[in-house]
Amino acid sequence: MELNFKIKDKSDESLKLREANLSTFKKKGFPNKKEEDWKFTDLEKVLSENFKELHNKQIDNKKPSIQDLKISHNSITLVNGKLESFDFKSENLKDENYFKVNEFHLDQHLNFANELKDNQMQNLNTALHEGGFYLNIKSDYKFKYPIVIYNYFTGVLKNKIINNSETITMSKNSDATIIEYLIDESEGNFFKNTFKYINLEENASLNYYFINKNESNNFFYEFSKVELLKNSNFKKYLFSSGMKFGKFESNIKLNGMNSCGEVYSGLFLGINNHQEIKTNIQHLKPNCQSHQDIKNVLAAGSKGVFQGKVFVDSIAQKTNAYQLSKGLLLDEESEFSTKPELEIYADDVKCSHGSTSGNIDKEALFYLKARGIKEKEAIKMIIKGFLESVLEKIKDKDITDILLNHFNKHIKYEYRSN
Amino acid sequence: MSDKIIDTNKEYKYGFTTDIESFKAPKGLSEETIKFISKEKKEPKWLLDWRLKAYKRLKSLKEPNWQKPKYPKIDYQDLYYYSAPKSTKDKPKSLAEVDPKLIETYKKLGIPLDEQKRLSGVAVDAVFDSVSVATTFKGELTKKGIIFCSISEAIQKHPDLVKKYLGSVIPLTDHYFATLNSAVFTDGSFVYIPPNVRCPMELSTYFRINASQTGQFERTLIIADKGSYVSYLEGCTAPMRDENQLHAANVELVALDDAEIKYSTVQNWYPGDEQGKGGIYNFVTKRGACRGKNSKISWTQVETGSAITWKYPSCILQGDNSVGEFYSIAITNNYQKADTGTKMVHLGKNTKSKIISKGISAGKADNTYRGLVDINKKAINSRNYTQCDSLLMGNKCGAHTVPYIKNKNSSSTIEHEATTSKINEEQLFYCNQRGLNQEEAVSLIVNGFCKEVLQQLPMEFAVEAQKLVSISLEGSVG
Repeated sequence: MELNFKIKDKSDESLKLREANLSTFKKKGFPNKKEEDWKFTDLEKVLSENFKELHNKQIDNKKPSIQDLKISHNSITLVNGKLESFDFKSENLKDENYFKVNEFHLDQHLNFANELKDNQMQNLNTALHEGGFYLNIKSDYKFKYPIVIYNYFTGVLKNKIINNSETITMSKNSDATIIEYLIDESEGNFFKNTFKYINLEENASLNYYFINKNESNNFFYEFSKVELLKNSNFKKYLFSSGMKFGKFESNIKLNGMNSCGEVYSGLFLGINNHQEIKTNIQHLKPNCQSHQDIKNVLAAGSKGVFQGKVFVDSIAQKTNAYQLSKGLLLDEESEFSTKPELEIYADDVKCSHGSTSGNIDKEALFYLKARGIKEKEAIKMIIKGFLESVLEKIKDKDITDILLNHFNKHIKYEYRSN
Repeated sequence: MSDKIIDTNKEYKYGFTTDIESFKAPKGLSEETIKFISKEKKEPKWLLDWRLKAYKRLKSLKEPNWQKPKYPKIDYQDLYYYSAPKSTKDKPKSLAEVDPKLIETYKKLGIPLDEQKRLSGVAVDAVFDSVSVATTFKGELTKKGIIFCSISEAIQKHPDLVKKYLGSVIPLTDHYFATLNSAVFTDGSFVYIPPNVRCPMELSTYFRINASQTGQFERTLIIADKGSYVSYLEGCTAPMRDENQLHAANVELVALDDAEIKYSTVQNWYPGDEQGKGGIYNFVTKRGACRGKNSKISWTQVETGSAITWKYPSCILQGDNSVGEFYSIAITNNYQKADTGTKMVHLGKNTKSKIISKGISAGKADNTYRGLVDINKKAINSRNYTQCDSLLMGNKCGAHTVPYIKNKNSSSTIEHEATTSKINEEQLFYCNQRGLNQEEAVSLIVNGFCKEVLQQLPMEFAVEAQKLVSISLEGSVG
């Protein structure tokens, strides 16, 4: 694989920084399975099998065809990773100071990136940084409607690498729901490397959903660093069915008492899909909670990976951490690999994890068939029930509808009986 | 429960050294050392070549560093690789000829070697440092065709069997410590159970590390031929010493069609003192291959000693319908560290594996369960069940669980669960109320927590193991 990375920057200082990061990256190369964090997902191999070349040339953004979600919402529009526009009219704000949206620059990015400087994907991101957005929600503001981030990919993006970053700061007592909606209309394969920094101050609350509209043949890597202060609450829902390659890392630091971090995912992986969800939840203060529920349905040679870690510091007493990962394998070609890890240094805690994988329960299938339901239909019901269980805790009906719709579209119920 | 830690830790029961002149190889790891060992043991040429091949390979390997417990760098050139008590140079013909000091040592350890042997019904092949000095119960076993001897003896008397199976489960090229062992192993046990024979007694070996600065490199090979059964016990104690001692043993098990091997370990080596000074490094490679159909290998271990325990007794389930089991209790106290678990590799059809792991961490110790369950594409209808529970005492210790789970087969099912918690206060209260003091109560509850594993041990071990569990935790609760 040929790497055609050209670096330029207006300021000399930034240019130096980019160059330094690029040379660090080149020394390390793309991560491969020898690295513990990439044990089940050999990025080097995946990329070299699918790309002859990777470049970071600027491409003129083609206007995407606007595709609205049919609910009242605010929006931030990104095209090929760069901020295009934003619209907060539905909110009917009297004072525009409740929030701030900005183009994201390299110097801002560095404030966050420093901590991750040993991560070569972060090095690469810094070196070839192209933009993104910065969203700051001010104290005490509670959004009435969800903010939809339209993440469009358009034009000829063959062999392109997109490096961007996003920051969301939730100030004290603020509350928001964000739906990241990925729409891929591009031609040619590209690789996207994104770093997200999410900060929640005291009593803030954020629900973050990720869904994709259509199938995508592209390659996505995303690293989210989330930090929570006292009494704050962060929920992440990942629904990226239909994506050829994805690795979503969430590093969640529970850095305030009574904070709570949750990760949910329901994925249906089809033909040769490879997706990994990796979490690292760090309980650093007492009385924090975390909850993880990961469900994967695997068919047609797909590979699902879950690497989940719960870390409990010695001062984080009264921690309650739970983690569940389940794989439903529909055929012989598919694989489910998990590494549910616990690292615990406090004794007054309740930490548990469970992981299962296997085929459709024959008894459940028999039960349904005995009631006159055809086999194909019965399998459909079982798969649906399996995946939809992650939606149980969502209270917002509009969002549940969007997600159910998403499942109906991306879940293929074809099944080869053994 | 208060956080107070009562400092009444019972001293290491088996901390003593015997003054026996040792016969040592030159210090350091080199081709000369290996040739010396081989010559000293009158080994055939193929074995020397095998050792040298391992040594050559070793030079290209790096010491692994992914494990949780870190340790100071080991200077392999500063170790003695061969040491035999001098008095065994002219091998004794009966027990009466054995150095009385040795016999005394075994008596202190409670090994049923002399008159105790008939009472206990255990055949003992005791290993003192690196050379077997006395073997008992040979007669009865020979009648059944069972071979139970030191591996050096097996190399002389049964070269075909050794040549066929040595290194067939743990290849020369495996990993650093296993390869090191292949190059410099000195002695160990060899067991062969002929077809359709059920071994009438529990076979047992006691290991002792004695001579100062001697890394002990045991090599054990157990072969259960078609339709046979054997239960093997391994118990370890070591004298008190300040310097860290390396122990890198290799244990290979081979089970052919319908055979069953049960391997039990009670490990109580010197764990270092309360400040974490000294103690044994226990870096052992244990692996069993279920080669034949319907074969079964079951590992049971009670790990209470050693400064660092780093081992993963594994099963390779090659034969159809074969079964692998792993039952483990790992107790760490003070500054002890354990990184232990198992690997279950499913290759044959309808293979089953079960993992029960109980980790108990107290003081400033770190206890890690690390395991792999890998069900391959061809292993249809396979099944795995894993349960690992950890118990923490105090907030200065750590308990970790790192399972790797791979399912490449839709007709197979894997279940894994893990929990971490502290001792239930209601249970403690209940015991206290009935007149048990805190320590007795904790001991009772912990024994209950470990019951699933303890009941897998053979009778001879179960009692000792239960006591060990209590002794290991004394002084850790307040």
